[in-house]
Amino acid sequence: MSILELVEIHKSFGGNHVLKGVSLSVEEGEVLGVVGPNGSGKTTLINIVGGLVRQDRGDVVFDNRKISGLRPSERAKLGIGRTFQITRLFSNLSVLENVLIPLHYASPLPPKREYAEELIDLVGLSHKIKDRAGALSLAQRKRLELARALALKPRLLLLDEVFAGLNPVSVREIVELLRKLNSEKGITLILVEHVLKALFQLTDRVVVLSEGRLIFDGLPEKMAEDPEVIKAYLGERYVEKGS
Amino acid sequence: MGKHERLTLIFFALLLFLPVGLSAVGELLPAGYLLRVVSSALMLTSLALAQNVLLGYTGYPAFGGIAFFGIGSYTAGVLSKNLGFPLLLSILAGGVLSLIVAIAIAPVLMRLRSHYFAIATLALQLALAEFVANLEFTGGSYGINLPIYRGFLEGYLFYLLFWAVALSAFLLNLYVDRSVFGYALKAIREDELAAESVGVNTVLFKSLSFGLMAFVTGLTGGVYAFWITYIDPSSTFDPLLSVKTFVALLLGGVGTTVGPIVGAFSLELISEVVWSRFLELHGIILGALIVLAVLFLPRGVVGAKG
Repeated sequence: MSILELVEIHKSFGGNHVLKGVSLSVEEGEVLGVVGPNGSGKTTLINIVGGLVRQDRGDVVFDNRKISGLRPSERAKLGIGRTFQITRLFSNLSVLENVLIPLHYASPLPPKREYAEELIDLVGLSHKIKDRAGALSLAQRKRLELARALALKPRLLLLDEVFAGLNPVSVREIVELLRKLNSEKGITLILVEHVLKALFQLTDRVVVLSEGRLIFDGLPEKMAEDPEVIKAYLGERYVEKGS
Repeated sequence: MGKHERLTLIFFALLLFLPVGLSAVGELLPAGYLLRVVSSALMLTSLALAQNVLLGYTGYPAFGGIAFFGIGSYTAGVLSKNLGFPLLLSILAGGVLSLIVAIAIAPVLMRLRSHYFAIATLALQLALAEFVANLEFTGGSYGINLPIYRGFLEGYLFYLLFWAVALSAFLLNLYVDRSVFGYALKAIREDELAAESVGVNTVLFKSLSFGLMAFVTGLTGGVYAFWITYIDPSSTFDPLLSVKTFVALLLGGVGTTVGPIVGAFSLELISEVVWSRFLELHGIILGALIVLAVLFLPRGVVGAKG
């Protein structure tokens, strides 16, 4: 059963036509990678699913329900969690408070401190639980954002460049964590990612966006052979040489 | 509850008995004068605490929040003078009308942030002053003379009312500081987009926060109107009162429960002393004190200590 359905999504910012009719279907429990060159519309796509950006045309269907008109906070309550490309934490609040806020405002679960502690432990920040979120390192901030999103008890998790700027050890740990969330809790993941190596360890389906259009949808290993993808990344010349 | 907050409650308890104590000392002190200074300080305390809910906890500086002081005082004035409403009901109505107006305009006004929001609220304040000055039933720019209150407790009633509003405002700040409701406001202050994406309906909570600020400010305006017995547009929509509120708040410590009280009382007492000692220079001296405070205590007296 598909958990998320995007139907002919169009979006312009002023004269800049960022998404030109993107349609996409994501199955429940799937891990989907979204890649593409800079400016291809990946983050806009995530923002449209999360509700921070409203599409000009087209529909977002979540769990067989049109959610195009819902506020981001209402989508969060339905179980759409997200992290941001540049982390957006509640910097002057503690690690614990960062996780408690979604527990109070969006989670279907009774807001228990123990559950918040459990999530913080899951992302490996137990020793920092009382610290100001703003005092964390980049890798820790990314983990905290993940814990905060998990507090929604999400069914769909949107991860915008979660691996960017992390060292290989952190990348490996987060890959393990995401794999666990997907397989044990059944959370559907959509990852916008440039770190393809990490992405390919997690996903078996990749879509490629280029200039606002979906140009590839399939297995990761087929991606690098696809002439459209090569064209988008390297230019026309390389397609001719290769074929 | 922290040590500072317990001390503040004791301070409020002591203030309640100040009029009794003053009458016991009798002629030794000019009781009326002292009571008036403390009343002013309590008024400024309420205004600073009201603004603290919005600026301190929600991160929106309503520089023209005094617009609701004007709405409160004019509601109280018009209702009691023109329609014969009793005192307490008129004051309460001023608070409620401020709340309603605030909630009605918040969803539009609060699309703006920081300086833009501050300027927009200031524009509201100045526009309302002009509006009131051009209405018939508000007495135009001549204003309204309110009936002098001669009932229960006489003049002491206003001291008690200022005290009660200030104490309520303090309890409101304590609540916001500790509650789940306060979490939503702080989340908005820290990062509005992130707050929205973890389930906080930011339009709703911003409006509530703005409404609470307006309610307390409106009540304060109502008490002021009856206390001073004469209101006009320039004294109730006074930009200098906005400045004073912000100075008190910044001096004491934004986003702390006790800071606004410390700020309001020290500003009121300092300006009283400076004013009476250096009549010609008091503006300069007060200005210099504010500059020094901002330079050396950027987070305020209470904020600086953590």
